[in-house]
This record gives sequence, structure tokens and C-alpha cells, in this order.
Amino acid sequence: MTLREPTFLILTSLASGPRHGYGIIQDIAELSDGRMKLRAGTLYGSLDRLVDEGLVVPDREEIENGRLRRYYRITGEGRSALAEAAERMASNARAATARLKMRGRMA
Amino acid sequence: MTAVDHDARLELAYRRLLLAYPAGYREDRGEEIISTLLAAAPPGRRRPTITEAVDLVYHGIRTRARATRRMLASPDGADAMALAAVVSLTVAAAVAVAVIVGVSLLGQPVFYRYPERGYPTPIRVGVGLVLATFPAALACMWAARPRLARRLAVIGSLGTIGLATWLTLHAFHVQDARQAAFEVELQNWLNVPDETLEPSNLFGLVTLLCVPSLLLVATRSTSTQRQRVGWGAAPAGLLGTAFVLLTTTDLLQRARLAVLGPEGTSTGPAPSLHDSGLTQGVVVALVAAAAWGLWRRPRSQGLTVACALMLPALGYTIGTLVTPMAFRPGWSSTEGLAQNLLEVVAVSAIVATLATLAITSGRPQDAPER
Repeated sequence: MTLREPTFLILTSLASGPRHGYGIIQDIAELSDGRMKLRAGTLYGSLDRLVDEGLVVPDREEIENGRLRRYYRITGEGRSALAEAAERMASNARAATARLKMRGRMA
Repeated sequence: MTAVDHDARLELAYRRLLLAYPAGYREDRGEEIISTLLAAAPPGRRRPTITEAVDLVYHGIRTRARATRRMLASPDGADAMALAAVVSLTVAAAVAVAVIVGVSLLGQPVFYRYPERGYPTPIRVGVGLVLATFPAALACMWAARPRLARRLAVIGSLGTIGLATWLTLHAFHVQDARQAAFEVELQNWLNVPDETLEPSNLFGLVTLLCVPSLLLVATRSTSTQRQRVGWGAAPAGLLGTAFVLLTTTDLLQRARLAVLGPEGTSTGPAPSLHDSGLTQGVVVALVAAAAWGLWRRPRSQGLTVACALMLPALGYTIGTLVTPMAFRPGWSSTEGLAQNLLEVVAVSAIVATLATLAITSGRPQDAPER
């Protein structure tokens, strides 16, 4: 299964425990060193798809300062998909690094 | 302005942007998204940024599109078809009446060459019978007699097809006669009575106004959708019936004679509905909707019947794209064909948009998207 970057980062964020929407946005900003700033529309569009595919499920709801916060939790299937994607990306990264080194030696 | 005022203003702006999402989705997720948006907004912000606005509107529209796709693929797809038929029908009937009223009020040349004595009795009777099946079937549907409604629908549809076949054959005969007159007597060819051709035009309208309506009641609507679809069909049926009654009797001609005098009834450019591309557009939209539904639900008997019922209308559409040019000066020009095709595309787009809006925004059981 190929995961797009926002989806990959959302699963990564949830891998450490359930989070609500704003928590995911904050965590992703930290994970990506501020490079990725997820918008709410994109976040909930991705969450919809992840819930549809069974990779994420709603965990619980809380009211905080009169506002509804819904927490999401990664499923076992979601962990497998994330692990698979991470391994693929790591493998690609290794291949790219090796080629770059090879090119460097040739030059 | 206080910080509380800023927050309230910002929240209102976010809620307006969330209108891009379907109502069911907003009901389920709206508060959660608002909460996230407000938490992510820096203090003192009064309005959403442009990127936020674009992001919300874009994903709102995508969510609506996904909801539509799901519904068409679901057992409720038949209801969507019915709703699309209602929208198409309403547009066709409303424009038809608007054209008649507008042309009459403005005193333009007649709607089209009109027979002095009205249409032959068999045509009136045939049209009347076909039309009568629609309100009868609708009444049966409202009276919780769906089986009888569907039977009436089938009878009416078969009647329409029979009427269509007869009128089309008749029109071809008239075409030959007019062509012969044109070749023999070039100067006077416009004086050759052409009223017998008009039933062909009339047939197209009857088909367009009746078949989708009959199809509508023939569709196995769910109980929750029945009332909504019925209310949608009612004005369309009313307008369509009024239009066909006006054009099949000499009421309109008498009124025009009384108001405009004989000059107002002279023949001129014929702004009939098939010239506007409206009928073609509606037919194309309906056929496309049926084909789409059939593709999504290949084993649906209802949709198969729907496609079969629309075939005569499609034949008429193709005919009207070509034959009008044979009866006008400059008939060999291809401009008319290109214009017609362009109008078909434009009208189809309008009808499809209206149908999509009707389908996606008004359903009470619009299940929240996840």
C-alpha cells in the first residue's frame, strides 16, 4: 500500500498513542521540523480515508473548554501499513544514498 | 474589539467555509473541525487565511463528490436517477413555458408554424392518454399503491413509444412531400403546409416530459425518498402538462390572434425547443445518467428498462439535430449543427450540475462521510 506524505505522517503521529485533530497537526509540525503544516481540510480528508480503509478508528470524545475533541487511534492494520511504508521508504533512501556515493567516487 | 469578539468572528467565518461540506457531514464532524481550526489559529486572528479557505472549500467539494459517488453505487442509486430525472424534467418544463410566454408577450414571430385547426384528434387523444398515466401513477404512488403505479408507468411508457413510432414515420412521409415541393416549386416552398411535421416536434416534447416522469414512478423508491421525489415531480408534471395542453389545443393560437392580430401569427424563424438544443440536452443528460447508473449497477432491471425507454427520445434527439436544416433556407450550412451540439453540451452541463446539487445537498439520510 502506497501512503502519501500527509497520510504517512498522520499514521506516524498516531503510532505513539491516540490524538485529536489539533494534536495531530501539532505533532506533525514537530515531526517534520516545521516543514509540513497540515491544514484542517487536508487532515480530516485524510482521516476519512484512513477510517474507511480501517487503518484508523475514532477512540473517544472529550469536551475541552466547551469544544468537542475527537481522538483517533491507529489499528493493527494501520501499524502494519505504516511499517511497510517506512521499510519501503528506508530501502529507497538506502538505494538513493548508495547511488549518490557511487557517483561521487566516479567523479 | 475584544479577543472574544475576534474569536466569534473567526468561528463564524469558519462555519461559513464549512458550508462547502455536505449537511450530514457538517452535522457529524462540524464541531470537531471548528474546534481544531480555532485551536490552530494564532491569537488575534480575525478571519481565515486564503490557504485555509481554499483548503476547506476544496476538501468540502471533494467530500460532496465522494458522497455522490457512494450514493450512485449504492442501492439508492435508483433514487438518484429518479431525482436527476425530476431535475431535468423541471428544467425542460420551466424553459418550455418560459419560451411560450416570452414569445407571446414580446410579439415575436410565432413559436412555430401552427396549424389553423389545431392538431388532428388522434394525436390529441394519444397525447392525452399518455399524459394521463403520469398523474394517475403519481397518485397511486402517494396512495401507497406502488405496484399499480408501476403498472401504469409501464402502460404509459409503451403508449409513448407507440405514439413516437407512429409520429416519426408520419414525419418522414411529410419530409419527402416537402422536399418534393421544394424541388418543383422553389419560390413557394415555404407555403407548403408543414403542420403535419409538427407532431414530430411534439412527440419529442411528450417523450421528454412523460418518459422520465413515468420512469420516475416506475423506479423502486425507498419509502423515505418517495415523498421527496414525488414533491419534486409534481411541479414538473404540472408544467409539462400545461405546456403540452397549450401546444396541442388552439388556445395559444387564439390568444395570439386576439392580442397581436394576424401579423403576429405570421411564420418566421422558428424558435422551437429543438432549435434551442434544450430537448437534446435533456435527453443527453438523462441517457448519460441512465448509462452511468447501469454501469454502476449492471444487474439493475429498473435501469435497463430506463435505458430502453430513453432510446426513442435519443432517436428523436439525433433526428432533430439533422432534419431541421432540411426545411430552412441555407439548410446545407453546417453552422446549425455545430450550434446545436454546443447548446447540447451547455444544457447538459447545467442539468447535470443541478442534478448533482439536488442529489448531494438535500438528502436527509445523507450518511456522514468518513
